[in-house]
Amino acid sequence: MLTVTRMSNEIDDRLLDLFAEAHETLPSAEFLQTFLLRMEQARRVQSMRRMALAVVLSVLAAWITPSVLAATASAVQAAGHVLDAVGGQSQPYGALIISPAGWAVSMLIGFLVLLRTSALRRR
Amino acid sequence: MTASLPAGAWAAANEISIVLLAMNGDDAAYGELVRRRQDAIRNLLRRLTREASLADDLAQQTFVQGWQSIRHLKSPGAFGGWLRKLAVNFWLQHARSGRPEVPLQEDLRAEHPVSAVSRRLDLDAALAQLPHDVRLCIVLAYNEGMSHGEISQTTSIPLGTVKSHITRGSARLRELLDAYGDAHVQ
Repeated sequence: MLTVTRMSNEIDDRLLDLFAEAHETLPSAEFLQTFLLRMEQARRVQSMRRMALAVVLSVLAAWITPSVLAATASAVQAAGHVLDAVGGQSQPYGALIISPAGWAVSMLIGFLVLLRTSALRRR
Repeated sequence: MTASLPAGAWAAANEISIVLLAMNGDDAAYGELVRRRQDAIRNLLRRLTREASLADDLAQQTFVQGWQSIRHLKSPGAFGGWLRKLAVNFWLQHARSGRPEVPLQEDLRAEHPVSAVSRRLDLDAALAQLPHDVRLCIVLAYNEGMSHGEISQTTSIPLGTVKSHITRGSARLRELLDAYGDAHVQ
Protein backbone atom coordinates (compact mmCIF):
# COMPACT_ATOMS: atom_id res chain seq x y z
CA MET A 1 0.00 0.00 0.00
CA LEU A 2 1.26 3.43 -0.89
CA THR A 3 2.01 5.56 2.14
CA VAL A 4 1.99 9.30 1.62
CA THR A 5 4.02 11.28 4.12
CA ARG A 6 2.88 14.88 4.18
CA MET A 7 5.59 17.44 4.31
CA SER A 8 5.11 19.59 7.33
CA ASN A 9 5.06 23.32 6.81
CA GLU A 10 5.41 23.98 10.52
CA ILE A 11 6.22 27.53 11.33
CA ASP A 12 7.60 28.89 14.58
CA ASP A 13 5.08 31.42 15.94
CA ARG A 14 7.71 33.45 17.75
CA LEU A 15 9.76 33.87 14.58
CA LEU A 16 6.61 34.63 12.62
CA ASP A 17 5.78 37.45 15.06
CA LEU A 18 9.34 38.80 14.85
CA PHE A 19 9.23 38.91 11.07
CA ALA A 20 5.83 40.61 11.13
CA GLU A 21 7.12 43.16 13.63
CA ALA A 22 10.23 43.79 11.50
CA HIS A 23 8.11 44.75 8.49
CA GLU A 24 8.51 48.49 7.93
CA THR A 25 6.05 50.67 6.01
CA LEU A 26 8.33 52.33 3.49
CA PRO A 27 7.33 55.56 1.74
CA SER A 28 7.14 55.17 -2.02
CA ALA A 29 7.70 58.74 -3.33
CA GLU A 30 11.50 58.88 -3.27
CA PHE A 31 11.85 55.27 -4.38
CA LEU A 32 9.48 55.85 -7.29
CA GLN A 33 11.37 58.99 -8.30
CA THR A 34 14.66 57.06 -8.41
CA PHE A 35 12.95 54.26 -10.32
CA LEU A 36 11.67 56.68 -12.99
CA LEU A 37 15.20 58.05 -13.43
CA ARG A 38 16.62 54.53 -13.77
CA MET A 39 13.88 53.58 -16.21
CA GLU A 40 14.73 56.61 -18.34
CA GLN A 41 18.41 55.66 -18.18
CA ALA A 42 17.62 52.07 -19.21
CA ARG A 43 15.47 53.37 -22.06
CA ARG A 44 18.35 55.56 -23.32
CA VAL A 45 20.79 52.64 -23.14
CA GLN A 46 18.31 50.45 -25.02
CA SER A 47 17.79 52.98 -27.80
CA MET A 48 21.55 53.54 -28.10
CA ARG A 49 22.06 49.78 -28.39
CA ARG A 50 19.33 49.58 -31.00
CA MET A 51 20.90 52.43 -32.98
CA ALA A 52 24.34 50.82 -32.77
CA LEU A 53 22.83 47.55 -34.00
CA ALA A 54 21.16 49.36 -36.90
CA VAL A 55 24.48 51.01 -37.84
CA VAL A 56 26.31 47.67 -37.67
CA LEU A 57 23.62 46.00 -39.80
CA SER A 58 23.71 48.85 -42.34
CA VAL A 59 27.51 48.66 -42.63
CA LEU A 60 27.28 44.90 -42.97
CA ALA A 61 24.56 45.24 -45.59
CA ALA A 62 26.56 47.84 -47.54
CA TRP A 63 29.58 45.57 -47.38
CA ILE A 64 27.93 42.37 -48.56
CA THR A 65 25.28 43.83 -50.87
CA PRO A 66 27.49 44.25 -54.00
CA SER A 67 28.67 40.64 -53.85
CA VAL A 68 25.15 39.39 -53.08
CA LEU A 69 23.76 41.42 -55.99
CA ALA A 70 26.48 40.18 -58.32
CA ALA A 71 25.90 36.59 -57.27
CA THR A 72 22.11 37.01 -57.61
CA ALA A 73 22.47 38.62 -61.04
CA SER A 74 24.72 35.86 -62.32
CA ALA A 75 22.41 33.21 -60.88
CA VAL A 76 19.39 34.89 -62.48
CA GLN A 77 21.26 35.20 -65.77
CA ALA A 78 22.27 31.56 -65.61
CA ALA A 79 18.67 30.59 -64.83
CA GLY A 80 17.55 32.87 -67.67
CA HIS A 81 19.87 31.12 -70.07
CA VAL A 82 18.51 27.77 -68.98
CA LEU A 83 14.91 28.96 -69.34
CA ASP A 84 15.69 30.63 -72.66
CA ALA A 85 17.04 27.35 -73.81
CA VAL A 86 13.67 25.75 -73.07
CA GLY A 87 11.78 28.65 -74.64
CA GLY A 88 11.05 30.83 -71.55
CA GLN A 89 11.64 34.57 -71.36
CA SER A 90 12.91 35.27 -67.83
CA GLN A 91 15.56 37.90 -68.69
CA PRO A 92 13.23 40.83 -67.78
CA TYR A 93 12.74 39.34 -64.25
CA GLY A 94 16.49 39.14 -63.70
CA ALA A 95 16.86 42.76 -64.73
CA LEU A 96 14.00 43.75 -62.42
CA ILE A 97 15.59 42.10 -59.36
CA ILE A 98 18.88 43.97 -59.76
CA SER A 99 17.19 47.29 -60.61
CA PRO A 100 16.74 50.11 -57.96
CA ALA A 101 13.00 49.29 -57.82
CA GLY A 102 13.78 45.63 -57.15
CA TRP A 103 16.21 46.66 -54.43
CA ALA A 104 13.59 48.95 -52.82
CA VAL A 105 11.00 46.15 -52.83
CA SER A 106 13.53 43.76 -51.23
CA MET A 107 14.24 46.33 -48.49
CA LEU A 108 10.51 46.77 -47.87
CA ILE A 109 10.05 43.01 -47.56
CA GLY A 110 12.99 42.87 -45.13
CA PHE A 111 11.48 45.67 -43.04
CA LEU A 112 8.11 43.88 -42.93
CA VAL A 113 9.84 40.68 -41.79
CA LEU A 114 11.56 42.62 -38.98
CA LEU A 115 8.22 44.11 -37.94
CA ARG A 116 6.61 40.66 -37.93
CA THR A 117 9.35 39.24 -35.74
CA SER A 118 8.99 42.17 -33.28
CA ALA A 119 12.67 43.06 -33.72
CA LEU A 120 11.77 46.75 -34.03
CA ARG A 121 9.42 46.93 -31.05
CA ARG A 122 9.91 49.72 -28.52
CA ARG A 123 11.18 47.42 -25.71
CA MET B 1 5.28 58.15 -19.67
CA THR B 2 1.91 57.63 -21.29
CA ALA B 3 -1.09 57.83 -18.98
CA SER B 4 -3.83 55.44 -20.03
CA LEU B 5 -5.99 56.11 -16.95
CA PRO B 6 -6.69 59.38 -15.13
CA ALA B 7 -4.30 59.88 -12.21
CA GLY B 8 -6.95 59.23 -9.56
CA ALA B 9 -8.24 56.05 -11.19
CA TRP B 10 -5.09 53.98 -10.59
CA ALA B 11 -5.80 53.45 -6.90
CA ALA B 12 -9.18 51.86 -7.65
CA ALA B 13 -8.00 49.67 -10.53
CA ASN B 14 -7.34 46.00 -9.79
CA GLU B 15 -3.81 44.70 -10.18
CA ILE B 16 -4.50 42.25 -13.01
CA SER B 17 -5.86 45.05 -15.23
CA ILE B 18 -2.83 47.18 -14.41
CA VAL B 19 -0.45 44.30 -15.17
CA LEU B 20 -2.21 43.78 -18.52
CA LEU B 21 -1.74 47.47 -19.36
CA ALA B 22 1.92 47.30 -18.33
CA MET B 23 2.41 44.17 -20.46
CA ASN B 24 1.18 46.22 -23.42
CA GLY B 25 3.84 48.86 -22.84
CA ASP B 26 1.95 51.30 -20.62
CA ASP B 27 4.68 52.86 -18.46
CA ALA B 28 2.22 54.68 -16.19
CA ALA B 29 0.65 51.31 -15.36
CA TYR B 30 4.06 49.86 -14.55
CA GLY B 31 4.75 52.90 -12.33
CA GLU B 32 1.59 52.09 -10.41
CA LEU B 33 2.76 48.48 -9.97
CA VAL B 34 6.08 49.75 -8.59
CA ARG B 35 4.19 52.01 -6.16
CA ARG B 36 2.09 49.07 -4.97
CA ARG B 37 4.84 46.48 -4.73
CA GLN B 38 7.85 48.49 -3.60
CA ASP B 39 7.11 48.04 0.10
CA ALA B 40 6.98 44.23 -0.09
CA ILE B 41 10.04 43.86 -2.32
CA ARG B 42 12.14 46.30 -0.29
CA ASN B 43 11.20 44.59 2.99
CA LEU B 44 12.04 41.18 1.53
CA LEU B 45 15.44 42.44 0.37
CA ARG B 46 16.08 44.20 3.69
CA ARG B 47 15.67 40.89 5.52
CA LEU B 48 18.02 39.22 3.02
CA THR B 49 20.71 41.90 2.90
CA ARG B 50 20.47 43.60 6.32
CA GLU B 51 21.47 46.84 4.57
CA ALA B 52 18.74 49.31 3.62
CA SER B 53 20.64 51.08 0.82
CA LEU B 54 21.77 47.82 -0.78
CA ALA B 55 18.25 46.41 -0.46
CA ASP B 56 16.82 49.49 -2.18
CA ASP B 57 19.42 49.30 -4.93
CA LEU B 58 18.58 45.63 -5.58
CA ALA B 59 14.88 46.52 -5.49
CA GLN B 60 15.48 49.22 -8.11
CA GLN B 61 17.32 46.71 -10.31
CA THR B 62 14.44 44.27 -9.83
CA PHE B 63 11.83 46.80 -10.95
CA VAL B 64 13.88 47.97 -13.94
CA GLN B 65 14.42 44.35 -15.02
CA GLY B 66 10.69 43.77 -14.51
CA TRP B 67 9.87 46.77 -16.72
CA GLN B 68 12.16 45.46 -19.45
CA SER B 69 10.76 41.95 -19.45
CA ILE B 70 7.12 42.27 -18.35
CA ARG B 71 5.83 41.55 -21.85
CA HIS B 72 7.29 38.03 -21.50
CA LEU B 73 5.17 37.39 -18.37
CA LYS B 74 2.97 34.35 -19.02
CA SER B 75 -0.04 35.34 -16.93
CA PRO B 76 -0.93 38.68 -15.29
CA GLY B 77 -1.90 36.82 -12.12
CA ALA B 78 1.67 35.57 -11.73
CA PHE B 79 3.11 39.09 -11.51
CA GLY B 80 3.75 39.11 -7.73
CA GLY B 81 5.57 35.77 -7.67
CA TRP B 82 7.51 36.62 -10.81
CA LEU B 83 8.68 39.92 -9.34
CA ARG B 84 9.68 38.20 -6.09
CA LYS B 85 11.68 35.66 -8.08
CA LEU B 86 13.48 38.47 -9.90
CA ALA B 87 14.32 40.08 -6.54
CA VAL B 88 15.60 36.77 -5.13
CA ASN B 89 17.76 36.23 -8.22
CA PHE B 90 19.27 39.70 -7.92
CA TRP B 91 20.07 39.04 -4.27
CA LEU B 92 21.58 35.61 -5.03
CA GLN B 93 23.69 37.19 -7.77
CA HIS B 94 24.91 39.80 -5.30
CA ALA B 95 25.46 37.27 -2.49
CA ARG B 96 27.45 34.94 -4.76
CA SER B 97 29.60 37.78 -6.08
CA GLY B 98 31.49 37.50 -2.77
CA ARG B 99 31.13 41.11 -1.70
CA PRO B 100 31.40 41.35 2.10
CA GLU B 101 28.27 41.98 4.12
CA VAL B 102 27.96 44.96 6.43
CA PRO B 103 29.38 44.33 9.91
CA LEU B 104 27.11 44.08 12.94
CA GLN B 105 26.17 47.51 14.30
CA GLU B 106 26.54 46.72 17.98
CA ASP B 107 26.39 50.40 18.97
CA LEU B 108 23.16 50.95 17.05
CA ARG B 109 21.57 47.90 18.65
CA ALA B 110 22.67 49.06 22.07
CA GLU B 111 20.97 52.41 21.47
CA HIS B 112 17.56 50.75 21.21
CA PRO B 113 17.39 48.27 24.08
CA VAL B 114 14.52 45.80 23.65
CA SER B 115 12.49 48.10 21.39
CA ALA B 116 10.89 47.08 18.10
CA VAL B 117 13.87 48.59 16.27
CA SER B 118 16.29 46.60 18.40
CA ARG B 119 14.34 43.39 17.76
CA ARG B 120 14.46 44.11 14.01
CA LEU B 121 18.20 44.73 14.17
CA ASP B 122 18.64 41.51 16.15
CA LEU B 123 16.58 39.58 13.61
CA ASP B 124 18.56 40.99 10.68
CA ALA B 125 21.86 40.35 12.46
CA ALA B 126 20.85 36.77 13.26
CA LEU B 127 19.69 36.20 9.67
CA ALA B 128 23.06 37.43 8.43
CA GLN B 129 24.72 34.61 10.40
CA LEU B 130 22.90 31.99 8.35
CA PRO B 131 24.30 30.61 5.08
CA HIS B 132 22.73 32.21 1.99
CA ASP B 133 20.47 29.33 0.98
CA VAL B 134 19.25 28.78 4.54
CA ARG B 135 18.60 32.50 5.00
CA LEU B 136 16.68 32.63 1.74
CA CYS B 137 14.44 29.71 2.73
CA ILE B 138 13.80 31.17 6.18
CA VAL B 139 12.96 34.63 4.82
CA LEU B 140 10.64 33.25 2.15
CA ALA B 141 8.88 31.07 4.71
CA TYR B 142 8.49 33.64 7.50
CA ASN B 143 8.51 36.96 5.70
CA GLU B 144 6.59 35.94 2.59
CA GLY B 145 4.48 33.15 4.10
CA MET B 146 5.44 30.75 1.31
CA SER B 147 5.03 26.97 1.62
CA HIS B 148 7.98 24.60 1.22
CA GLY B 149 6.79 23.71 -2.27
CA GLU B 150 6.56 27.34 -3.34
CA ILE B 151 10.02 28.04 -1.93
CA SER B 152 11.41 25.07 -3.80
CA GLN B 153 9.85 26.34 -7.04
CA THR B 154 11.05 29.89 -6.55
CA THR B 155 14.61 29.03 -5.55
CA SER B 156 15.12 25.77 -7.52
CA ILE B 157 16.32 24.17 -4.26
CA PRO B 158 15.06 20.55 -3.84
CA LEU B 159 12.01 20.21 -1.59
CA GLY B 160 13.79 18.06 1.02
CA THR B 161 16.63 20.55 1.26
CA VAL B 162 14.17 23.42 1.69
CA LYS B 163 12.54 21.57 4.60
CA SER B 164 15.84 20.85 6.29
CA HIS B 165 17.06 24.43 5.73
CA ILE B 166 13.92 25.75 7.42
CA THR B 167 14.04 23.33 10.35
CA ARG B 168 17.73 23.85 11.06
CA GLY B 169 17.67 27.53 10.17
CA SER B 170 14.75 28.21 12.54
CA ALA B 171 16.56 26.46 15.37
CA ARG B 172 19.78 28.41 14.73
CA LEU B 173 17.84 31.66 14.45
CA ARG B 174 16.15 31.04 17.81
CA GLU B 175 19.55 30.34 19.42
CA LEU B 176 21.05 33.53 18.03
CA LEU B 177 18.04 35.62 19.02
CA ASP B 178 18.16 34.19 22.54
CA ALA B 179 21.83 35.12 22.75
CA TYR B 180 21.10 38.68 21.56
CA GLY B 181 18.18 38.90 24.03
CA ASP B 182 20.49 37.92 26.90
CA ALA B 183 23.00 40.54 25.74
CA HIS B 184 20.32 43.26 25.93
CA VAL B 185 19.33 42.19 29.45
CA GLN B 186 22.92 42.37 30.68
